[in-house]
Amino acid sequence: MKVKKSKNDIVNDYIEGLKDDIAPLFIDIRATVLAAGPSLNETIKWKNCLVYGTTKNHIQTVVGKGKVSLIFFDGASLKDKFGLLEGDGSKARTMRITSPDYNKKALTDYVKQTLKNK
Amino acid sequence: MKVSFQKKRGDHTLGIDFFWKFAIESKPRIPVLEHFIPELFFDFFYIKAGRVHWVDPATGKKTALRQQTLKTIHHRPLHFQFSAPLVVFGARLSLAFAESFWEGAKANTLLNQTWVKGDAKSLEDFARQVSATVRTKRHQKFPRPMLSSGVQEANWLVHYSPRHKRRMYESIFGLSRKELLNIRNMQAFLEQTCDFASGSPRIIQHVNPEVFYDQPHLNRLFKKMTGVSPVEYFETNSILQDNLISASYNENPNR
Repeated sequence: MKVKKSKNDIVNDYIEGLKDDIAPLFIDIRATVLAAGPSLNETIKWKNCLVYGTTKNHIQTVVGKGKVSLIFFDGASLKDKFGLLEGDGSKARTMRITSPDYNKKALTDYVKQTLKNK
Repeated sequence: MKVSFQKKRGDHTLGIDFFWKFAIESKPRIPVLEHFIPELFFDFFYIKAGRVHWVDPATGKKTALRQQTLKTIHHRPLHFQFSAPLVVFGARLSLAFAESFWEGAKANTLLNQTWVKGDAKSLEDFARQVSATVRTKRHQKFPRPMLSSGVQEANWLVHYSPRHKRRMYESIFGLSRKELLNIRNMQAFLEQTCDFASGSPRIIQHVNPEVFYDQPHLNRLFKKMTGVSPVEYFETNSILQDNLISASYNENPNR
């Protein structure tokens, strides 16, 4: 699978180390996020979270068993017209993705809104 | 703003975990704030382009870092301000380095050093020059290492009184063993926690009862050392340190 190399060595190492069952989904999600927000920088926070941010952290990716969760740190301020954001906390919201047929339009919208609200 | 981070394997016999290059490209030129939290590493910075300021959290006063600076272990938060565009080379140095550092290492200090003569043209060139300096200048302070793995005390120290050991720790690392352990415990907590989303496990489920009595105990220590609460920390952007921490973990996962 073709992977766009990150400017960050740590991110490339992390992607290479992903298990085969989750790597294609993770790479596809990463491509969607970066297409929607080209200004986002990637980094690995601690050992297993890919974080997208600009001058502040905006989105965190957590890889679980058969799923990838995207945590929008300021998700409560997003307009959720697709109804895919979970959580009732004061700030963060989560989008859980389990299959390659996930709603790319929704993810793109959430990322664009996140960058607009920053 | 575009950020890049490259790393190169260091020389563990010299106490150098890895070398790195960090660059920020930005148009327009914007200052980037970096929040550093305590870690059990020394960091050597070589500023090739741009400027780095240390910001005093109490007064907000900014002090420009010298081109070559060694950051000792600190047990309080450190704030830096990067002026983009920026290119910084660096070396991450382990506690083993502290035991052979040729100067006194007071905690919470930024020491002016000259490890690179002339100009470092690339990460490889920087690594070569720094390794050569450390190899030439290093001076083992004790015949055997004080710490075995992590912050585990070596067996030979059992013959010394607590007061004498405290002096030894202060002179080598600039901090007491208790303070080193506090840093280690905080890092151990952060290593295992990353999902703070609603509906996911709460912080209390990640608190190790053998280390922290309860969550307020953790919060108190965390806030004292980092200046923010655990949840606030995860939202804070610390571009350089996030990369350094991840690279440290990859270099030595069993630390």
